[in-house]
Amino acid sequence: MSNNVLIEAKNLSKEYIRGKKEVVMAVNDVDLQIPKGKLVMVTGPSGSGKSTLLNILSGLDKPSEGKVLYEDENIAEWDEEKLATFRRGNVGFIFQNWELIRIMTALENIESPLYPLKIKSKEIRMRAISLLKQVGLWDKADNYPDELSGGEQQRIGIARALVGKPRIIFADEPTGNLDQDNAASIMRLLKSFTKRDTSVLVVTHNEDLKRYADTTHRMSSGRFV
Amino acid sequence: MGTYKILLKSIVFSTRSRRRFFTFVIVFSILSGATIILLSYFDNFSREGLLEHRGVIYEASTLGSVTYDDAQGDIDPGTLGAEAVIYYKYVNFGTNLRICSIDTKYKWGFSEIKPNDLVAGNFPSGDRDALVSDQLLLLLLDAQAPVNIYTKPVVGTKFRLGRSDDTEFELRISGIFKKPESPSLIADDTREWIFIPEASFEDLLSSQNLNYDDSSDLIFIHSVSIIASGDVFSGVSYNNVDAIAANLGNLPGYDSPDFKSKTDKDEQRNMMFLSLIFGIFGTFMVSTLYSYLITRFRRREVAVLKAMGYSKMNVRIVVLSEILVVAITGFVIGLLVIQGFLWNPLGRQSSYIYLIIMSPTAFLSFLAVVISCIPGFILITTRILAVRPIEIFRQK
Repeated sequence: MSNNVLIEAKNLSKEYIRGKKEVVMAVNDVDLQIPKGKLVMVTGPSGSGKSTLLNILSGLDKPSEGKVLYEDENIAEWDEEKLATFRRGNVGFIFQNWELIRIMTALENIESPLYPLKIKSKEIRMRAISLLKQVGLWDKADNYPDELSGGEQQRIGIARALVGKPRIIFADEPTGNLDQDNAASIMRLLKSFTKRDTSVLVVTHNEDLKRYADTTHRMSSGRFV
Repeated sequence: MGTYKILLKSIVFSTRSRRRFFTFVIVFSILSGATIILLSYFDNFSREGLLEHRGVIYEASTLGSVTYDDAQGDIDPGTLGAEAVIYYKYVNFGTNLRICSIDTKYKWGFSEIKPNDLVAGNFPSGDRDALVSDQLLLLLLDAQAPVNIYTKPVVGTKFRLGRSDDTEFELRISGIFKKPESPSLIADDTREWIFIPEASFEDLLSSQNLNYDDSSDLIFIHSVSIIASGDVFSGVSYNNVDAIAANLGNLPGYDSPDFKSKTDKDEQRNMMFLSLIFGIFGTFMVSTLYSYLITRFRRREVAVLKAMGYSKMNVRIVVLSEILVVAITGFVIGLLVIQGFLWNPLGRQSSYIYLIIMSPTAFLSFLAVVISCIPGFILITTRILAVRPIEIFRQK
């Protein structure tokens, strides 16, 4: 594994049993490298296996076969608690449906990944405010998710993914529910973080977003094509 | 540090789902209130109902019918195997007063005046404390003045008793009781009664040169309370009460012994146990239902937290704090409401009820509420910790 590579997938496969007997290969013998400080994009139609790939690489799901190497360790073999520790310190998630917590304000949503960490409350608040300003929503700090537009919620989701200073951000259809302008704005924001040596993996069905990527892979029926 | 932070934040966040929060707080407060009342009945066994449940009372049939010397011969503590034998002695003091001894340890042990009968102040605790009737009049000026001036008793007032100027004995009014209704030895007496602790009583006798042998200064008995050993929860004391009453039988100079039969007490106790079980079961059902609802409503939120790297312990704290906040808030509201209902705004505060908020009953009720939440908590952690973020995110 090269020093420049943060996460590497080797011969990754994931199969599901659909119905009683039908075996579906959601991911079929995929190799992928995510370099440090680069934006890697995986495109493809719905059901092509790109979200499954992202979930396996982030440790949310286990592969049926193959390895996911992070600093030469195969995270696919780790148990839930070790994976939680791994995600806590290294990973930021951006979800398609934003997945903001409704009982928290925008500011608290951004702060939430830091609550389990040994970081002082003042430092947490400062980091969250700084990110809130970066995503242009400082005036919405005390708003609850229901009071925000889709684009605003996604920006809060991005700020939340970044607050822990992760080494990699996994973004699943980050622009899926947004209009063209909002989508471009979100992608520019994601791209800007690669300059700070943060790696970004984006999976999307939107081929127009390729121009923001350093590397692009197209997926179909569980394979890169 | 992280755990503490999660706990604090989760407590705040748990109140944000307002409809769910308030609905369950109200339900919990009703159940907690019911549990407090039921446990109060149990507590009552060792307080207001002490004599009924744990004691046999021998009350003099008329004033002056039994002397202290006689009573000691009639009822010998050594042979009864009782926890305590309390002689309520009195002495005639002048022509208008009787001074009666009380036991400060067994303040519910006297058959006529109980802490519930206080209209102000507290039951005597210090040696020079006195309990006086609300109908007592204190002479404010010297009786040799053309017109006497009297005053009603006030808690904290110091007054002096004495058969002569050089033997004055100072006492302080610690509490004022409402005079019992007739028929009663005290109510039907034309004299006023003052109650003082046993130690003070002995001091008073010696300061006034009263002695047990002088027929004009005889020490009489109002009543004797015999507290049986053993606890009421197991019913051991009931058997002992029956045995003491059977052993002593009727005694000359006293009314028939006053006590509740084992059959009546067993029935009452069983009903209370049954009610208590229903109260705790109700709280258990509600907490379990609430836990179940949390697992339904907060599954997606928990999935997000786990995806962000929250450990199992972190997630446990998040959900546990919500259950505890609801249960404790409900309990405190229930307790305050009960306290509010039991507080008589007209001033006849009961020292027993007055202190329910600080009583072991409140603590026991709280314990019952917390214990009844445990199964719900186990359910919630089992279900919530089994949540796999990936499965939740697949569900739109």
